Amino acid sequence: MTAEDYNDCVKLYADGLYRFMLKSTRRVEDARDLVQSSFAKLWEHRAEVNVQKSKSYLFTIAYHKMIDLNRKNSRLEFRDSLPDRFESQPANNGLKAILDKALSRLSERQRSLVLLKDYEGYSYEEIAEITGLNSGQVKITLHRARLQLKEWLVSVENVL
Amino acid sequence: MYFKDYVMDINRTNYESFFLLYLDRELNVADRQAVENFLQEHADLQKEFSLLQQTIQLPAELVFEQKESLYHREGKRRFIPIYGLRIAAGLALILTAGWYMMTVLKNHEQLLPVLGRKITTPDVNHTQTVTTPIEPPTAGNTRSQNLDQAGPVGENDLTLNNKPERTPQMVKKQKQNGKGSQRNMADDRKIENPDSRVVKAQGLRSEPVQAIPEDGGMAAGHSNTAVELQSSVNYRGTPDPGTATIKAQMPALLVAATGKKDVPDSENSALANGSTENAISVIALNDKHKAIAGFFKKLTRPLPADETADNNKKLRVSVFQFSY
Repeated sequence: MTAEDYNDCVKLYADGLYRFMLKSTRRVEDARDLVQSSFAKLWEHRAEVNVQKSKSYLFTIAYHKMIDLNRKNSRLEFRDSLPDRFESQPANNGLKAILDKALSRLSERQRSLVLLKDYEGYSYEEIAEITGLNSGQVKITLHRARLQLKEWLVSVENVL
Repeated sequence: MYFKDYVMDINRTNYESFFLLYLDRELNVADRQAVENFLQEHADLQKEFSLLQQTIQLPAELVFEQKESLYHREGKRRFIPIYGLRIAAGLALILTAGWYMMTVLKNHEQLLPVLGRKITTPDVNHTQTVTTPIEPPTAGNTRSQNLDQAGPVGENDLTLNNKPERTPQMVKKQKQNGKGSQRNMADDRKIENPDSRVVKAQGLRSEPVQAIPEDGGMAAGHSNTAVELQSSVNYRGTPDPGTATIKAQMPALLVAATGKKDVPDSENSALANGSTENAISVIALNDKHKAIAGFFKKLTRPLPADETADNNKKLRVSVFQFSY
């Protein structure tokens, strides 16, 4: 990968990676730091990275950095009891806000898989490569997450 | 490649997995068509399919604002194109001419006499050493030995043989002569007695050399790579086969020597003992500058003797050397 290829990666994938990190960490500062560090690592290893694999390489780095960060700070359990800073942002519509709320109730792995699938359009195989799972685990985890989201939507509809 | 870990048709017991695979775009075209057909056949399952479809997250329009900090520009090179061959050729010509002019001017600034040179003449009987205020005097014998061991004459190193010891009178005389170049030049022009010739041009930072032609003539020789000092007649009135060769890295040389026209035998003997004074000036010049050469010829012409000075036992030779 040349410097020009790297800059193309920044142009193409920086926003998506930031969105993925922001949805996963729910903290703007953490998301920025993770994006910065992920691209820094990509730049360091650019000679070893194939251009066509650069996106999955970036997301793999970011995903594992995010997991390490969450484990280090033990924020996952603690965050649920705190006001969600990301939720304070205005939503485009009611359904999206409900989905964001439902997404925040998923486990870290489920949320990451849903984001990688829906936002980035990765296949099960690609998600498995990024997350270190096998494709069967990815499929099962994703299906369970979808069913949980559906149940959340049904429950909300019942309340409304 | 589509994900399908089982081979079976969609039915009311497995439709949920098919719905999810359909929403995740993990089915091939045929399976997708099968799901769509199944939904049309089972309208009661369309609501459940719609709920699952709503779980799909729509990408948020988020922009990473610090994207510029991620770019690396160091790999790129800047090219400054020069449009037009004429412009490039003109620039090259101007630069070349400028460089040439700078080189020529720099060389002309170096048109100064070289200090501290030593001259050697192979004829032992006709050489003496006269020191100047510029170069501190040293013991004659020691210096001659050192210079003789230094190898062949040349390369700015001129050796003197049979140098007399420097006497306090000589030092005093040199100090007097060193008071001003104009006075020295005037004094030199007055010298007519070969026994008391002293050629000085301290204002021009000259160097003393030896070699005393008997008739006071001037001999000049020039070469592109070497400088030769040659006296046509020795002190005893016979042709002097010996030459004083000064090899230096100069393009040309002018030798101006002054000496007595009629040297008594007694003075010849004194000269052989190193006690007779004459003068010679060696001027290294480029032969293109004949006007400058003429100036130094006049400067080193035989001058009247200084009656008050004790010049009878001295030999004064000045060297003017220029580099181009």
